Amino acid sequence: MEFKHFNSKIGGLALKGFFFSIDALIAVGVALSFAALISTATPTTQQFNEYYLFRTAQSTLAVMDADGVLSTISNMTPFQAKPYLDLQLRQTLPPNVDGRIEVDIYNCVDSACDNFTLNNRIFGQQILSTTSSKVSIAQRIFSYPGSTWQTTYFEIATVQTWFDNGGFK
Amino acid sequence: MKGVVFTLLTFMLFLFLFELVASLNHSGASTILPQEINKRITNVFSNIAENIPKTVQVEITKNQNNLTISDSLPPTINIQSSLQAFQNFINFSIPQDLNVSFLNPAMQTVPLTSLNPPFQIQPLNVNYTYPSNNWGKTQQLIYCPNASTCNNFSIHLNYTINQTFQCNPQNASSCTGVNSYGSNEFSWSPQPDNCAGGPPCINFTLSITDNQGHTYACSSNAAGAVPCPFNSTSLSGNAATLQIGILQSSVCKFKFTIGGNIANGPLLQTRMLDNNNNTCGEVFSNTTFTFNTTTFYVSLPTYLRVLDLNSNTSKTDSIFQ
Repeated sequence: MEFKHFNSKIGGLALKGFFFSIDALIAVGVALSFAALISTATPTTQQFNEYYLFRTAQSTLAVMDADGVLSTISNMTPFQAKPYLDLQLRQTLPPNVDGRIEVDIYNCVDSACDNFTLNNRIFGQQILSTTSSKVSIAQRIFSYPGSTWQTTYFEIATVQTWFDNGGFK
Repeated sequence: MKGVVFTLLTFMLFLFLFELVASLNHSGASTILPQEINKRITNVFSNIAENIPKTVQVEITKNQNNLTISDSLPPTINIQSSLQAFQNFINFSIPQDLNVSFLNPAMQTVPLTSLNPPFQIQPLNVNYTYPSNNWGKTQQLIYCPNASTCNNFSIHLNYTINQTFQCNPQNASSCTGVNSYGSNEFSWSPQPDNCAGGPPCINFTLSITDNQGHTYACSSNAAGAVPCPFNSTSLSGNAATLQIGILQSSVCKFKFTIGGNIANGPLLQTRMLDNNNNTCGEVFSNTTFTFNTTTFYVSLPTYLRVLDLNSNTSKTDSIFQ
């Protein structure tokens, strides 16, 4: 009798311990689930960096157009335009961002201006001097109507941006 | 036994939570695609909309509570051809999985060449336009919906003309009939009343420069210059009207009208016309509105739709800056 009572007491304790362990495990699981939920819902620094680079590339094109940089190059030779574009790009970009610009200039083929020819492709620095794996790209078209179809032209400008210091930590 | 059932139920609840987290993670990954599509559509939309003013030879600049519209009257380009060329270039350059279309107010597809003024300054409902709302640009017209709206902003006008004033306004002795309000060559009839009867009034500054660099400015009382002591006028009665004689032609006049009863006419009208109402000179204008709000935008009465054909996602809105 004594032995049987002892065994059932031990068995009851073991069962309680088992449930306690399971409960603890579940609690840890639930806590981990919520932690995972929170981490997926919060934007990461990497996402912020990508957004910053993209917005910088977009703004750079808008500023360079407003400053007349993109219309000025149509009157330059590629030899003149490349260093000019690089200089203007460096002056426009924030200090922690580097970039590259490429501008394709299209002219109308005929008076109806319903087809176009690539008249010139002007680009700044050719080699991406970056160790950054993330490069953001913005592209915009610009219309420059002229008094005749011969003086009407369009540009497709592309700016690539990347961090030269690894970005925001 | 109850404990086992309870534990199993709790375990199943845990598994359910785990599944929930996994599915949320999965759905989070798939929502990146619509966001990217929306970003792309919005970029193409704003890119096209930003090019429209330049295509119709107008520049629009916003700076805090100031809005400046730079214009050429008449245009030095063929605006219909310019719009057609731009639409052709859109079709040429936009990726094939995007569709760009222009819609009239009834939401019917129209060619870009059917785009017409006015430039609507919203939400103030002030219209910047030309006669018959077309791009001939023979006159500059500004309409205000009511006097109380116009009373709340000022307008700063800078004009440059490609003709020569009949006399140099900076040297009044070269002009005839100079009095305290002007001269025969720079004559107001009626004159602005400087808001003598009280509001509603329109406050303004005016500067006109000819091709010799001579400038007639209001309000100005510079020594030796033809005076123009006006800076506002009432929004009732007759509009104040300025006529400036042109050296090259006795019938060509620069005419400027402001204020008066805006229920029956424009708030402002500028033109260079001869006796037959034909345009007799070019006017390059910079019109700056200073509002008491920074919340405004400029739109045209045509809608632009950018459609992503793969996802059938689109953005449709008025063409605005």
